Amino acid sequence: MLGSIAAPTLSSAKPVRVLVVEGQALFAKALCQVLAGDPEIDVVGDSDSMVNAPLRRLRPDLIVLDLDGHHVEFSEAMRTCREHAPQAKVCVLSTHVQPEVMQRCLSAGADGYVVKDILPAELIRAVKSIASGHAYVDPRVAGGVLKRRSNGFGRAAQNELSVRETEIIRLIARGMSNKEISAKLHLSEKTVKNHISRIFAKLNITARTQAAVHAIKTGLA
Amino acid sequence: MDSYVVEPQSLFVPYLSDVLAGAELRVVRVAPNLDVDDIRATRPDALFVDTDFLDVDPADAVSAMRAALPRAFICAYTNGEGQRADRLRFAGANCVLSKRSGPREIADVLRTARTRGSFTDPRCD
Repeated sequence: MLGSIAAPTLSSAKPVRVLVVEGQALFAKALCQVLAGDPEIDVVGDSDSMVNAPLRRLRPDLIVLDLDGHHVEFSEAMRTCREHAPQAKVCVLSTHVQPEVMQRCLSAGADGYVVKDILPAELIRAVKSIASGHAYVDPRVAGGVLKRRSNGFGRAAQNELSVRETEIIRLIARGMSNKEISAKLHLSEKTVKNHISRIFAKLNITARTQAAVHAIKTGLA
Repeated sequence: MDSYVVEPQSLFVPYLSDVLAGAELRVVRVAPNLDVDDIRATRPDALFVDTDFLDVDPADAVSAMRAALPRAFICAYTNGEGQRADRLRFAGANCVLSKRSGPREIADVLRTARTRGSFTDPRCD
C-alpha cells in the first residue's frame, strides 16, 4: 500500500526515545502499544498536547504528533517543541492526504508525515527512519507535493496559509458557516472569524465566495 | 453483539477491536466512512462510529444509521461537546462517548449503555 524506504539499522545504538502526543486517549494507547513492540524503540510517555508534555524531563529523540486531535495551531505546537525539546525529530500523524497540508507541516519544521491508514510495521520503519535523520513522507502525498512544486506552488511565501487556515478555507468552500466550522474544528466562533480575517488578508480578498473560488482553483477543495 | 465500526484511522482499529471485545462487542466489519447500504447489508447489532472524520454532518450520519437499523445500538465516538454531542444523541445515538476516555472506561461505559439503553459521557455535556 505505502512505498517504503529501508529503515536504518539501529540495533547497535541506544533505543529511540519516543514521545506520543495524541489528543485521543485510546489512540494514544494504541500508538504506544504498536511502537513499544519494537525493541529499538523506547516509548518514554504520552501526552494529550505538546503544551502539557514534560518535554525537558523526557528528552525524547522523536515525537509522534497527531495533527487531527489538537485544538492549537500546528505551528504553535512546533514552537513549543523547538523551545523545550530542540533535539527531537517530529513525525506528524494525520488523516489528511492533501499535499498542501503535508507541505505546511514540513515547512513548519516536521521531519516526517504519516497518514493514519499506515500499517503498524510501516509506522515503525517511518519512526526509525526519521530518528536516524532521514525524512519520511507518505508516498501518496509526496507525489502531490512534487506536482505542486513543478506547477510553481512549492515556494514558501509570506501569504501561504497555515494548516488551520487551510482547513478553514476548505470548509468555507464546502459552504459551511462560521458556526458550523467552529463546531467541526472545536474552535470558538471568534477564533474562526480571526482565522478567516487572516485568510482574507493573505489572499487579498474580501468575501467568502472569493475564498471558496481560491480553494477550488488551487486544489484545496 | 456483532458490531460495525466506522473509523478511518485504520492504524487504530486492531486496538479498538480489542477494547470493544472487552465490552462483548465483536467487530464483524470496519469501514473508513459512512456507507449506509453496507451497514444495511451487514445488519450488525451495534454500530461504533468515529464522528470526527466523516464526510457528512455527524448528526446526519447517525440519523441515517438509525433509519437503516432502528433497533441497533449506536455509539458515537467524538471530540465534540455541548450542542454537538446533543445533536448526536437527538439523531439517535444510544451512547455518546468522549475521545478522552481510556480503554477500560470505554468498555465499562459500553456495557452500562447497553444495559440502560443510553449513556452520554458527562465530558461531552
